[in-house]
Amino acid sequence: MENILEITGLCKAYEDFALKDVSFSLPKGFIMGFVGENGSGKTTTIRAILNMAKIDSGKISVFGLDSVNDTIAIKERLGVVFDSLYLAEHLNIKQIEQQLKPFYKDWDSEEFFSRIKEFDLPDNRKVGDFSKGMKMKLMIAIALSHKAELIILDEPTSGLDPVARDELLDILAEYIEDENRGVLFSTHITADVERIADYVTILHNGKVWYTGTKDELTEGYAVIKGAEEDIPSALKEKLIGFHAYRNGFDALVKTDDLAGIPDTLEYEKASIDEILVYIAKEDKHERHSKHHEI
Amino acid sequence: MRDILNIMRFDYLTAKPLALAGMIFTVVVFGTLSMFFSPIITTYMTFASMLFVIPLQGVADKSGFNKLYGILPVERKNITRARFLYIFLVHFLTELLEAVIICTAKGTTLYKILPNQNGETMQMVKQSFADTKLTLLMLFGMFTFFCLIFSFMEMMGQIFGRENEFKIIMIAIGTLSLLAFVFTFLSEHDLIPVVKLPSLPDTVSGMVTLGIVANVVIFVICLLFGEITANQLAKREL
Repeated sequence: MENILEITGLCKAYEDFALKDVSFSLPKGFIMGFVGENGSGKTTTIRAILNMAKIDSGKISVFGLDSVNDTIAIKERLGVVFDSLYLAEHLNIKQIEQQLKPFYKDWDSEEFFSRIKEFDLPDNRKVGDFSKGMKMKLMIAIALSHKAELIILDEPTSGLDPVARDELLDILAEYIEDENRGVLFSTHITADVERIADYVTILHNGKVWYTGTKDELTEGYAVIKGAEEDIPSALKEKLIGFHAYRNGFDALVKTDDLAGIPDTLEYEKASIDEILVYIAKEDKHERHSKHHEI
Repeated sequence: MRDILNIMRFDYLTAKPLALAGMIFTVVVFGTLSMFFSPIITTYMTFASMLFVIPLQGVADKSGFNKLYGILPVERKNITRARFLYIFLVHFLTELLEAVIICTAKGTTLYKILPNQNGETMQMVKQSFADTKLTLLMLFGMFTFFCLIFSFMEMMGQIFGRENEFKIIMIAIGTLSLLAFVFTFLSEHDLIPVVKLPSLPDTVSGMVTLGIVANVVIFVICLLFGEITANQLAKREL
């Protein structure tokens, strides 16, 4: 499978935060959910892909091109949706189209206005007066109008109502029907990822905690519950985010490690949300956090 | 070059809805006044050119243009260079427009239809229409002053931050004033030789030549300021 996005050994240090050896890849024709708690490094990674942040080391390749040396060629083929609008708020859609059109060789005005109509956006109102959902749709329309082959979304659904979120996911699902495209979708709303993503990358404290298919992730981890004294000693060290209550405990565990556990312990498949919560708990309990990769 | 032109067009389209009405108003008011009372009045239109420059940074900050600059397929340095060329072009086009209105005012001599042609005020009006050199001096002077000030402020604002812009301008004015004071004091007390400033040209053609030279010099300064700013900003992240 050809990768549309490939990040290898990305390191970027700020005073109070660092991305450490971030590596993952997104094959063509798929959607990757890029998840992690606030401050885990998702936006920094996206800024590095866009060459907005200068990387300390590592390599980012988009469409097989280098993100630093070929940044202009990459941006011709890249669409980006941020959590907030990046356009002049006092302009209307027609004026915005006039502004952006000359920058893209493949800009298609017909496509743009047909998307605007399809998304039900008023073309005579100031874009600053749009609702968050409308702003997000406008950014998608821009990305689609210059025939972007990869769309990167940075927390697009935060602050959106469920209807607008649902619409966005439908748009992305339709977009990815063309197998030469890709979507990197950063969010901390894991329900969206569970619904549309094929691949998931979990970032935690600036490191990749998991990268792989969504199915492997959700099949690979379980939430285990029961009485603390029933935990076999071999399993105890493998528990992630162990939390003891008055009547028992719960924790995250790899399904591979479940073999031979006593019947008194119950377990069920973990959701991505639960996985994120237990990763965070693991940190709070200051236990050794391993680099997990399936 | 295509990048730079696109960004200049982008800046113009950003400012246009905010500035156009004010610009038209200024052109109509000062244009009309200059037709009847003095061509020099036209040169006050230079103030209106700031309508196309001042709103840009506010809009950029409010609308998160940093993100947009990060995703547009444009070299980052060209975004900065374009802003300085835009400032020059706005002032240059205003200057051209003023020159056209001045020529029209002098050609049409509409002041002749005003009453009381022999009155003292009308003598001043006639004198003003006759003094082409002074009008040209004002035209080129206003262009030079405003274009220089705005491009300098743009450079300071982009390098040191908008919040420090005013402080830096004040420091610059203070330093220049101090230097001028020291220089004058030393000259008057014969501590340094008196330097004679070159006098202004006596002829209209000489004044036009001076104006062209001023335009070229300001253009070069804008390019230089743009290059300095672009190099400084290139070291930072968006």
